[in-house]
Amino acid sequence: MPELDPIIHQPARLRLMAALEALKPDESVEFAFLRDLLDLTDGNLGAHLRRLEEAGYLRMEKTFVERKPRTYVAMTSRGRKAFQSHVQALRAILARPS
Amino acid sequence: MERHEALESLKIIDEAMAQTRRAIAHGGSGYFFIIWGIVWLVGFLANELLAPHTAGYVWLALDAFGLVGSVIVGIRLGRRVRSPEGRRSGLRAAALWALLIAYGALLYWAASPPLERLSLFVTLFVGFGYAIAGLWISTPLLLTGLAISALAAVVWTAFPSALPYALSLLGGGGMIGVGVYMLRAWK
Repeated sequence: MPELDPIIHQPARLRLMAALEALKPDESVEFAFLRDLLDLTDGNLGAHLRRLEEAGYLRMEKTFVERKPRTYVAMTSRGRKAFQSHVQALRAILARPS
Repeated sequence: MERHEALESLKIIDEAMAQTRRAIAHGGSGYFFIIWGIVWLVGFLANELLAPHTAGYVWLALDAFGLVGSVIVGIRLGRRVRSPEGRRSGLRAAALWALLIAYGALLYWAASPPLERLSLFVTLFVGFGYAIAGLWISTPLLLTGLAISALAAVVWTAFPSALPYALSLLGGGGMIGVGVYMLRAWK
């Protein structure tokens, strides 16, 4: 039976992972876009991203566009599996007889 | 974890995924509406308030502003999400507008409408372009195209002399309003 993932369970990281899950497998999204989408500060989003990166759930790529640094974020296949397993665990709780 | 907490988490997930898809698909469309709304607002007012020769130059400047502004916004929006498909879609959208402009010029040459119907012809063709592009890109663009075409046809039939004011204030102003709404609602 799938189990809840304590790393993903935190509300901001849950929304972050859900946003990344909405992307196609070959897509990555810009840091500023995620920050605005999720209504988080730079520092807050950065901390959550680092936590998820340490877990191997996402990868970050730093690049330069017109001499300005930009960071792109994408979910890894490990992160996708972990997220889907977390969702299954949530559904299993709902399916549990009360 | 309790059932209501699991339900709440699943709701948060569904909302975040829907919001992300909406923001990627439509989130920046509002900028295009605002840019072209300004073009319509100023351009059609210039038609009425300035000499035809001067208004022609105003339209040239406004069209350049609209095209350059759209390209800049398109490039910036394209940078938010990196994907091989996104680049292809951007090029396809640019090709669509280039084709529409080319066919608009050809139809104008072939139909040769009288000068007093020039605004109506251009407006209906632009409305057609918005509607066709909207079928691919976004429902608000489709509805805007249909609304602009209906507005132009109705005003031309009932009050032909009011057409430039209607296109400026209702058409241009409406597009700016829709654009601001889209930016706030679909960030």
